Amino acid sequence: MLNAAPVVVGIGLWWTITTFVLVQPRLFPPPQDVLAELLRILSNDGPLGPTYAHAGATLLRLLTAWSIAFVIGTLLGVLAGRRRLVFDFMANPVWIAMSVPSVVWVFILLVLFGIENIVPVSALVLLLTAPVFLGTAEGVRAISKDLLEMCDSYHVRGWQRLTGFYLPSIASYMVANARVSFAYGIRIVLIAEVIGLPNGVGILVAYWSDTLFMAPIVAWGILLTAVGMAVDLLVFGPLQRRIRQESELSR
Amino acid sequence: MIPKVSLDNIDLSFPDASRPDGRKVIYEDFSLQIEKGSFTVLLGPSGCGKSTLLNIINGLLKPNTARGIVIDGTDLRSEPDLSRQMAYVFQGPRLLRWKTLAENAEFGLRGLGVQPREKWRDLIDKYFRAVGLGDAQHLYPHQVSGGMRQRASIVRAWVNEPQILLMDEPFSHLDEITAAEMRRILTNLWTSEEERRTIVFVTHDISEAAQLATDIIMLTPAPSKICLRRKVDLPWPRRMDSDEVIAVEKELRHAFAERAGIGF
Ligand SMILES: Nc1ncnc2c1ncn2[C@@H]1O[C@H](COP(=O)(O)OP(=O)(O)O)[C@@H](O)[C@H]1O
Ligand SMILES: [Mg+2]
Repeated sequence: MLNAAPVVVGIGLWWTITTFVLVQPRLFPPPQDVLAELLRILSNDGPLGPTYAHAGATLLRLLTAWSIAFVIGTLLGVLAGRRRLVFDFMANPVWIAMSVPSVVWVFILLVLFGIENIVPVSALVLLLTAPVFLGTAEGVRAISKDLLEMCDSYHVRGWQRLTGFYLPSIASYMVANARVSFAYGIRIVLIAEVIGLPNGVGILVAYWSDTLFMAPIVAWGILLTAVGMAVDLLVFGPLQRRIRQESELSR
Repeated sequence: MIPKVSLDNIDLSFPDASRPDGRKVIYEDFSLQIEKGSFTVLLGPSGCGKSTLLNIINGLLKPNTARGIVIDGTDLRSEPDLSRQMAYVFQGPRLLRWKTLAENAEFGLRGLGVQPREKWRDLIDKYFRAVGLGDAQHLYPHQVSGGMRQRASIVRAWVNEPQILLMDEPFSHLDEITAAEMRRILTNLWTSEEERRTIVFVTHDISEAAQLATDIIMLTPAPSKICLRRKVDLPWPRRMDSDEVIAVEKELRHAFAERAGIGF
């Protein structure tokens, strides 16, 4: 209940300001306008066709990019975690890639591919792979030398070493990586989409921004935040707790 | 004597910044033969290079130079797969916590590529029962005691039916009573088999050496030399407190004082 208090106070402030100080509902929409837009979105009604189709397209891009990034980042991270040389070779480019603003990546890829679905997806992949890579490499480097030596002495290599040893060893890191990269992805997916694709939430946001209507944009923001929080709370949170419990149990 | 393992003229040093020449010499022109079917105990003080020696035999560590690292007449360096006939038991159990004891044993079987796979189930069952863990094999490491974990790690080695068992102070972190029981389990297992496996067992515990060995090789502090080599022809099972075992132990203590310069 105490957690809800700041939210209630915030909404109260928001209402007060937009009703008495900044009375410009198009640019500074009061909470009830945003709520109305939220309900409109949820009733599948919008300016550019059914909103669910747009949300679905965005979600699909996010999930595709996130899955690809997770697999690539994890595999590269395992390689880099095992070999200092590979890590040193890759760490700087990865940091640079992470530091370049997402919009810049989108435009670079736009020049390379034109307006295609591959642009937002690959921009997301690029951006999401980096934290997964770094987290995985850190996890692999934390594996005990004793267990590595045990694997070596029993000739555990290749697929068995990856799936039977490295991945279970870094399970808690993997959940953390998935969590961080998903949260990151849901924050930047719209930026990657604002490039004139035929669908996606990014296009809707661009549309409303062009027509100077803020209420739907705020509504989408709230919706995405809610989805992000729900996934975190319902999927990643319990998963991470379970894995932590298991590894503590066997300490 | 038929050497199962023969190390010929090994040189090994590690970088060590605290020394004037920047290196710590562990072995210099070191040679060692281990007889087939023997229970060879390498006895030496901590840090003399016993684990290092097992790692060389297993191919995990390459010496700086060596004339030969010969297993069954073939050099390990030209035939690295020879180390698939060996299995390692470490000081700690080194089990994977996300696998049951039986799955841990299977992990080793898969790694060493023991054939045929259909036999794995039976092998696992057989050796878990042999060490008294028939019922516990489906538990996870954290659900069993330290002694049981170490027994499971012995099974992980033994299920491969390796020709050579490398054991690195496997009981040194157990309490004395558990360790005594483990020694009994180990020697029972070893003597129960028609054709005895070659065991290379590392310890710094003199009475353990006297109780277990058919062959004792005593090492000096690094740079390590063999300062005593002796057979122990006592029947099995041996009692720790039997006069014969205690006599061997006494002799070893003397030898340590005189030849390795370590008194007790
Ligand atoms: N990888 C390594 N790098 C540097 N020094 C090492 C390494 N491994 C072992 N040593 C050193 O070599 C010596 C012998 O080690 P080890 O074989 O583990 O001794 P023991 O098993 O007899 O106690 C020790 O002084 C140890 O510090
Ligand atoms: Mg050691």
